[in-house]
Amino acid sequence: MADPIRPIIVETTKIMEAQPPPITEAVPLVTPLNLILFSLAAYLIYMRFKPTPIPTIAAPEPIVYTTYTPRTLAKYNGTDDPRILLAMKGKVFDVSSKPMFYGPGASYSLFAGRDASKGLAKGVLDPSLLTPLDQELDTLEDLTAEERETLQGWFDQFVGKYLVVGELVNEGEEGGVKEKQ
Amino acid sequence: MSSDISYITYTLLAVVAGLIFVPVLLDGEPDGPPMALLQQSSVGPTRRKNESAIHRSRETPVGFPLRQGLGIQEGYSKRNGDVRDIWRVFVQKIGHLHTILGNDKVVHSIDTLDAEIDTLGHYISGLSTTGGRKVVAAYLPNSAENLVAGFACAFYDFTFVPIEYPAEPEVIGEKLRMANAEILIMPAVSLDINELNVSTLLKHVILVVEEGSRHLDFAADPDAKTSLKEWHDIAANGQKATRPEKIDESQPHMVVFSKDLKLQKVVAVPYSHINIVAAVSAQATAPTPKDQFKPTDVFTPASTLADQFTRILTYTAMLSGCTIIVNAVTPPSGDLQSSCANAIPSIIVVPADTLSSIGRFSKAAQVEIFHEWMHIYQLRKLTRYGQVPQHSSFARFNDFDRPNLGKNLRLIYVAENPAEGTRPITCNMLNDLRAIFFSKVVYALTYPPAAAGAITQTTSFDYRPGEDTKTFKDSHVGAPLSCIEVKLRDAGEYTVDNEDGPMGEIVIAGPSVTSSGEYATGIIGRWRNDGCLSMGSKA
Repeated sequence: MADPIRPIIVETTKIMEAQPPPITEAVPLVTPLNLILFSLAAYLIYMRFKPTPIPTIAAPEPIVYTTYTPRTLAKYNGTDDPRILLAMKGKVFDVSSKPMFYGPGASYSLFAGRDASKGLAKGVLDPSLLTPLDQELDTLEDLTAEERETLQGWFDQFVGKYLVVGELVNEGEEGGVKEKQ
Repeated sequence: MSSDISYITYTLLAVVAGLIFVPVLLDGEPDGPPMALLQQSSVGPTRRKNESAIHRSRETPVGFPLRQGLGIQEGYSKRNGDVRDIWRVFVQKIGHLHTILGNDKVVHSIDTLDAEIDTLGHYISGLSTTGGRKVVAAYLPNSAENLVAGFACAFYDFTFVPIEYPAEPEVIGEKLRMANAEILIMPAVSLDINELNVSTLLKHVILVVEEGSRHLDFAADPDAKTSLKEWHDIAANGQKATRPEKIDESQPHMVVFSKDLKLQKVVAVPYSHINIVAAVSAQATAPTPKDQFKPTDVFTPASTLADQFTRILTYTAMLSGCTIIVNAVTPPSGDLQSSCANAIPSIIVVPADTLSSIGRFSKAAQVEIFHEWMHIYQLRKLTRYGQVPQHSSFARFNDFDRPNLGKNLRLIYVAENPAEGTRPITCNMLNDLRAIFFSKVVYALTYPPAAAGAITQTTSFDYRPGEDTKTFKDSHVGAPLSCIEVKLRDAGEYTVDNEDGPMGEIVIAGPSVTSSGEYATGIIGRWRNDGCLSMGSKA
């Protein structure tokens, strides 16, 4: 015989025995992922409001235009002084940018620190063509017309390529040039 | 792990994404390339012993020729041109010239003005004077007549002497004497001519009569010791002369008055055509292409046209075919807002002391916290993002007391003249002014005895803040213009070997300079390492 109460008891027992529904856990606030994201956001905000120093680019220090004599010029040959200077027709050129031509041991190194006018005019790499340091500057009066033209060609090329950083004068004449300018 | 990702995580993710992407989408471009501000002048590679290296505009670097003139194309060649070409180009580009009279705008016909140049030129040519070259003084407010008189003098080869209006009779007499002017153009009954005539060479007077008073005969003064003629009479009944083909460009075209720092007195400085066209052409190309004068611009000289910088800029605007709107009311005697009233200008020139006092007053008028926040936001826009604040109803909401010059204003020119002894406008003050006017500000150094136009001027997009301390406020006047080269020379305690940067007396040379060689100004300057010239000696 079926007990009419029975199903009710079974249902009730089921309900009573059933696990209570799990309480939803509180949302975890401090998790590694949240921390990373939070610090990233803080960093981005900081970067946005960080005072930025105004950048500056310093221009290269200008070279002082100087009057040289054969003696004072001689040390700028790439060995005694890293700068390489070369004189032509009374003007001094800074050829430091081309040490492969004028540096120590290079093909034109004999012109470094010297008056190269005559050598370039004649197109000869001969140390005997350089005026000795203790003598007056070469006035270049004995050049032929063709040699003068060659020298002017070299001069124009140098003016276009290198910086004129001074003048070459005889010893004792340094003051005169300065006053003239 | 999956339980870690909650709505907090999603919110943070959104915030981070927003911080990364929103600036990219909304920040926009700066007004000019920021890297261009780091070195603003072309510095010479060599220097003399007691001088700094030559600084030049980056448009005309060391080793290239300076800008000489207008570069008017003629056949296959270009020529430098003279002041006449400015008018010719203005007519050719169909520029407009308007005068504001109170609430009315008078639109001048350029053909009529062109004819007035000829009738006036013919009339003045016929006047008898004792001097060799005719000297025409113009004691006029900013008006079409003022500009026409200037060009008539250019076309007919007279010397033009603009005199600031209004001025005391003694000052005018002094200026007429210094310039040896025998002819004067002035508004009717503004001066007692017989009184002026006593102390000056004045022989002929041309009276400008406003339209409402033309029924009166001002020229019929039986007591007058000079010849009198009315401008409108000349314009209506005068004969037209043929313009001379050639003019002598080396002769002084314009004489300006300025204090000389070395002589410590006011001197008359003659400018040749060459000076003026060099200054005008350099001014025309100085701003970035985006900021240059365009035919759509409306230019208003809110400063007297007797000031050479204002006049040079007006000529620059004419050369670009802008609409020129002149108003007789100008600062410092008048109010800035009324001088631009009914004009809605896009480019103006303002005297330095007027602009700096407006800056101080408007800054003091920011009494509400909203004003202050808005200002801070706008300064941040300027200094951090290199953008000039935009004119918006939000920015002007519940506005403080500041001049309203219309929404088209985009460029304000202001020139410092050290001879006037005003205090330089600092970098931070210029930024305040940019925020107040919603406009770019170009700050120039002028010294009228030395050079026409500006010597140096700031880049239009240079909004870098200055370093202000209690004793020193940062200010600079930018890099040289393309018609001039600037160097510093040792002067007393100021030497070019100084560790704070080369200091010394400003020495200038170039086509806009009044003397043929170098001109030592007597002003002490300092090169900053960004190639800008700073006035005063402190680092």
